[in-house]
Amino acid sequence: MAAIEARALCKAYRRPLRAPGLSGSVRHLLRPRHQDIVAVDHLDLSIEAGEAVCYVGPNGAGKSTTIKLLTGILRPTAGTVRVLGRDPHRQRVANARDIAATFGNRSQLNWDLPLGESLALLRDIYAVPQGRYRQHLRTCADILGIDAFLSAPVRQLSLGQRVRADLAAALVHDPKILYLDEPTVGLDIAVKERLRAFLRQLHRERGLTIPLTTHDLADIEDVCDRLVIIDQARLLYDGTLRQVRDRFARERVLRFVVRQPDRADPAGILAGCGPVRAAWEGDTLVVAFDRLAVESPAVTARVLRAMDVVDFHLADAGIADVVRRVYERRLDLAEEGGQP
Amino acid sequence: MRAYAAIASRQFQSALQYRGNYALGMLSSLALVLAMFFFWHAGFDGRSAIAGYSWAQTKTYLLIGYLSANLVATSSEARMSESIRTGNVLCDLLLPVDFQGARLSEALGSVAAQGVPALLVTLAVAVAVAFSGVLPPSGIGAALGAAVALGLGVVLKSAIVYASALVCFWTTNYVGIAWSRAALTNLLCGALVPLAFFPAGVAAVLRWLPFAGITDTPARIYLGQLVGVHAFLAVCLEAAWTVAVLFGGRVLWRAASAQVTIHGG
Ligand SMILES: Nc1ncnc2c1ncn2[C@@H]1O[C@H](COP(=O)(O)OP(=O)(O)O)[C@@H](O)[C@H]1O
Ligand SMILES: [Mg+2]
Repeated sequence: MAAIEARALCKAYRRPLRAPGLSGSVRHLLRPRHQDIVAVDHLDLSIEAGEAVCYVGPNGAGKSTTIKLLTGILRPTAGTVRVLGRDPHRQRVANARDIAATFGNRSQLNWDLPLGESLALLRDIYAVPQGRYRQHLRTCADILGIDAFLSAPVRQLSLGQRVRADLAAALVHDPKILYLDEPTVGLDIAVKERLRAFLRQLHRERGLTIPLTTHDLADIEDVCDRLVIIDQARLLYDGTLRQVRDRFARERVLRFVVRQPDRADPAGILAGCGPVRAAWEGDTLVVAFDRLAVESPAVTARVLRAMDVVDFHLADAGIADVVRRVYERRLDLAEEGGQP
Repeated sequence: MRAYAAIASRQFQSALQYRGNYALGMLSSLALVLAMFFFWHAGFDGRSAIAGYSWAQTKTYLLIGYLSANLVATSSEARMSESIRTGNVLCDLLLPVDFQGARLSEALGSVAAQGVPALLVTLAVAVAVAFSGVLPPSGIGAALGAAVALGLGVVLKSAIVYASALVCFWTTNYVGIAWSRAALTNLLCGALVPLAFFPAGVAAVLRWLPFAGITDTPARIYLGQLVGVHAFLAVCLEAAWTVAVLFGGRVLWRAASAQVTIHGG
């Protein structure tokens, strides 16, 4: 059985509909009207133990709501969730022992206490044996460098330090599942790198199940092996990173800088390569094609034979490109060449 | 259990960080208790008793009321509604502890750090300045009974505070709720006006309500107005209300958690 299993999961929020101004408020008081906002719409999702799954979608797509449903904080409007065989909302306390979650915009740590005290509180709450706790602190010191600010009150930590501290706190009880909602938002490159390295290690060495949401492409490529794309509360796509690349990121662009170009139509030269699109940009010949349908060496050989090429550049559409198209709502699932 | 003890002790430590609040808390509660004293002092002008209470008995009753009001940290109310309002309650929900149990543990932690020291200093000053002539307990049994009733009252009031703070899950007007709750409890428990000063019918009804257990019951046991079986029954009523309000809080929480939404994404 999958570690996380959601079936036709729905969540709608009620938002008061209130006309502006005092009269609006009074009218709302007398006859309240509400609008239902569907944040998660019939989501089917199944995550196996040990998977790292990235959840992407534009702001407001319903990512955070989904995480809150999976962690048991919110009750679904309809549908079911099972996490490690439990209903995470009804069995919140039992579920909380096996999972952890961090939310990029919030901290679980006590603002007023030194970080070390906050971690010790979690140790006591989860009844973690002292030996395991010490070992956890050592690991976090080695990889996250938290030893440098263990005695500082949490309110004095920088964002980068706080995020590392939050991660250390989330892992005190050695959870089986770690949910991360935008874990790298607002961090500098060095801290992001460090965080990803830690997550990779947790995933690969400890076999931790990691569902995470992000807008950062490097998070996806460095940490995850599966991508779930959602938009407007609905699941658009669910597949491995490789499948995503092969299905939506197949365009390859070759650019040849040519000495004294004649700018003649390149169609003649490239005949026989397969379906390519070629055009001149100044003194550069730009050739674009589906990398699974056309062989790059064939294209290159023909161009090099016909022209005096002084420079050369290759670019593949990546996950970045796919995600950008999702955000711009330009990803057409039906037209992208079918299944690879 | 260890988890709740840890939560209480950490809240105690965290409350100790705000030393400035001590001074402020002491000053404001001292001002309040003195204001109450002078108000009632004026009321007794030229009279030897009101509703059967002598001036010394009234002073004693009010001082017990003051004690009972300040033994409960209502800061837990503000903390809870604030965390609901900002959505930080999400973090509380991620912990493997009962929500009510954790909030009550926090309340106890804060009262130990802030309530008790502030209270002791204020009491000492108040007794020295205005409340000299406060009556001793009417007997050893009365002293013990009053202590039990007062302790139970702390749990009862904490449970009331918890239940009223839960209402913040349905409305964003938490200041209004806190004010109404405070006004209602303080008036109906006897902390502002001894219940005996209300018309007899009203007082009789008020003594059946949960609030009386907070101040009126311990004060009357202390003064020897409730003795023997009557004192015992009053404490039983208080205990029953404590259980009922704690249970009501759990029911309310179940309803709240079913429709909780986390503010702020
Ligand atoms: N507490 C709330 N009350 C009402 N609507 C909400 C609440 N939280 C989120 N929403 C709405 O639900 C939708 C999904 O939000 P969210 O899950 O936070 O999206 P994401 O994390 O993908 O940006 C948005 O339209 C948002 O406005
Ligand atoms: Mg979000």
